[in-house]
Amino acid sequence: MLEFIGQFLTLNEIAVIAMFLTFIWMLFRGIPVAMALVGVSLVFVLIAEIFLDPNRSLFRDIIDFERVGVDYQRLGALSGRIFGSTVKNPVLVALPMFIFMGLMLDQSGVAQRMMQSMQKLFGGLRGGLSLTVMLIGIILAASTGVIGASVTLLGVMALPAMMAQNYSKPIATGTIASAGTLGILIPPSIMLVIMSDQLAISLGDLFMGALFPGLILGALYITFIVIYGLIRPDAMPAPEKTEEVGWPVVKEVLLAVVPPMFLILLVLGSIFAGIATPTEASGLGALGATMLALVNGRLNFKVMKEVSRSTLNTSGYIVGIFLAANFFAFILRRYDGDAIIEGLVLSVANDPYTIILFILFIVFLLGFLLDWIEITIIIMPLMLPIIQGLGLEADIPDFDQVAEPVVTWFAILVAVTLQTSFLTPPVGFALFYLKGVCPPGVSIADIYKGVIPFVLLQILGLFIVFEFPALVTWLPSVAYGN
Amino acid sequence: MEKPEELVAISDPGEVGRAEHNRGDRFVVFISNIAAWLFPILMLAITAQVILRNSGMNQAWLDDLQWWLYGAAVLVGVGYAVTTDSHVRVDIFYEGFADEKKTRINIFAIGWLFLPFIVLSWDVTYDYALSSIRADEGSDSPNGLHNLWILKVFMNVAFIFIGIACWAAVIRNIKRLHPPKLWRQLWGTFPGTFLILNLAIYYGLLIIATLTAPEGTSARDIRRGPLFGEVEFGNYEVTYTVLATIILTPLLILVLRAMDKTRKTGA
Repeated sequence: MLEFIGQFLTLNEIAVIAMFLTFIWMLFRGIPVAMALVGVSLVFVLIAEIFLDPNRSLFRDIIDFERVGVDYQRLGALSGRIFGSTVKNPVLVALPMFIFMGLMLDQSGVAQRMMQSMQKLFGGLRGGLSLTVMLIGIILAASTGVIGASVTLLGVMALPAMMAQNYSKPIATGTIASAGTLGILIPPSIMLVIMSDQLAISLGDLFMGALFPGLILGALYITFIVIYGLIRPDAMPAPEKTEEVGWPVVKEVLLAVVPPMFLILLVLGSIFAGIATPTEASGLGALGATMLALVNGRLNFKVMKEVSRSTLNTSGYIVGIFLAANFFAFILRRYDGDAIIEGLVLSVANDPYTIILFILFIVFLLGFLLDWIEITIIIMPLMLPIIQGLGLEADIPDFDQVAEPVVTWFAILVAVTLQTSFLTPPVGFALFYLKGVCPPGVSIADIYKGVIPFVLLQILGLFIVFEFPALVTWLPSVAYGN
Repeated sequence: MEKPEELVAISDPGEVGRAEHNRGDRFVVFISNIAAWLFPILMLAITAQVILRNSGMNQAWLDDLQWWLYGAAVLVGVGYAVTTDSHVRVDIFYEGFADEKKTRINIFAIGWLFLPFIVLSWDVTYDYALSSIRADEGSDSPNGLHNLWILKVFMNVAFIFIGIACWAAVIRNIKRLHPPKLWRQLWGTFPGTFLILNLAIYYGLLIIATLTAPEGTSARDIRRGPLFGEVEFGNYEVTYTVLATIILTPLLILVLRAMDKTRKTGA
């Protein structure tokens, strides 16, 4: 049996496959990701130490096998890895700070104010509510927490109003779901913080690189809504009675929009101008959001306390995955797993661009099952050497400034892909968050129908970024006073 | 329909399911509630550094302080997330499971998978912290925060904290099924118990060996002493401590189980 398999696979390959299958099995049983990761790793430490390594000469007669060589002594190397990856990691300081900023922004009531005032401004317009939602989604991208907070927030704020105005259910839900997922791409985004750590590239480059693709997607969405409103006026009817749009309304909108814009400017501007590192910008953003809550009269001891505790909780489980994935990667490497996976991916095609598309497709599929946290922490480090080895340096413009143009470009492609994945029926995350806050009468089928055009736009956006890498790499090259 | 403000209102994660919390859970929540305040402090420290640096008064120790505060807080956060049951999972099937099955999965995930890793991490970071103290490790930057050993010792202690959080969570889950007798707790955390017992025996022997060793014996020689020696089982080399643990752990659980009088009455 083993002899027969040995013609195709090495024992290490079998072990690595078994490792991933065990992991997936545990995930489907509902074991938390971090615990499944450490569990699989511990089991495979035992298998190597008790079964595989001592019998290696027996195995070698029938099948190829590299010694795994994990024992208790060697696990001592973990200490430095734990300290270096989770504690002494200045980039990750941005993680809790951006989470804090997002939670505080949700509490500050700026979204509600923007909704109320912009509704008046665009209310008379056909499709005005859709546009309002989209603009809030873009401006408040910062508030996207880890838990689909912005889809929920936009859903509860805008959906009842859209229903009252007789918007077609698909277009209403499609708008909200897609506006809500823009947040994982448009900086400052927590996902980009983790990407920057896992791919060892500058966070500033990633933030600047994500800006144009994010805005392009936003523009595509808005164009679509305007055109759709012209073709199918009955899908987004204008309200029957409209308020006069005069100076007071415009002033109200400005008063509502300027504070969050100021916050974005504070975060991105300080990075762009080189006043603060991206990590420090996160702290400034957190303080800025707190100030916004204060100005809006929403800040009190209770809010401060609960935002801090929720931040601790959220960063706690993310760091839990960091700890676990680190251990998993260590054991996987002992099994030679990273080389095996690299070989597997590279064997798919000869053309580097096909390989990238293949990786993106895998990421897309994984996005149905896993949140972006797990994907970026577990999968990205495995893909890094592959991307670096593709030899694309000559194709991706670096404008003599960007340190890792290929990886930066790839990271943004992955971000757009994940965003698409979260929108794609039947299992996209955003759709379920939205379903959770839908008023009765809106079915999941309406949501599925509604997001399809947006998924197509996402794919168009992905294609644009794929074809024009300079969209990603140009802005970082002129940023922070280079 | 609830008002948007109410729906987006966050709740205090430590308050969810508070009634069910046992002493261990409350301890974890208590410490975490204090640690949560590190984030507003971190926010202020960052702002202070940005202002000071841009006005030409760079404080290198503030750079270090940022990740000190962050690192200390998130290590506590890992334990907090265990207590609040927030560690992310794929719930497509889990959602539909019966409550009892969910409970068993939780016990297995925390007690059998996570706890052993935490005990292991405690052990590997213990030596790491000790050697940092011995070397009086400082900062990479001359004006940075020195005494890095404080943080490394804290990391080591944090794993005990996470371990307590795991154990308390296992007790809480067992309680949903049976009275959480000690033998059930030990069985619910079997691999963790195994490792803890092993470490207890090992460090116990190490202390004895260090105290009785002749003056000037190096720590390395003590660790290789006959007390720890190993037995050969075919291909395997097993140290005495592991051997003792293999026998002791099941024995302990069985004895405690036999002593549990309520078990037969089904209470």
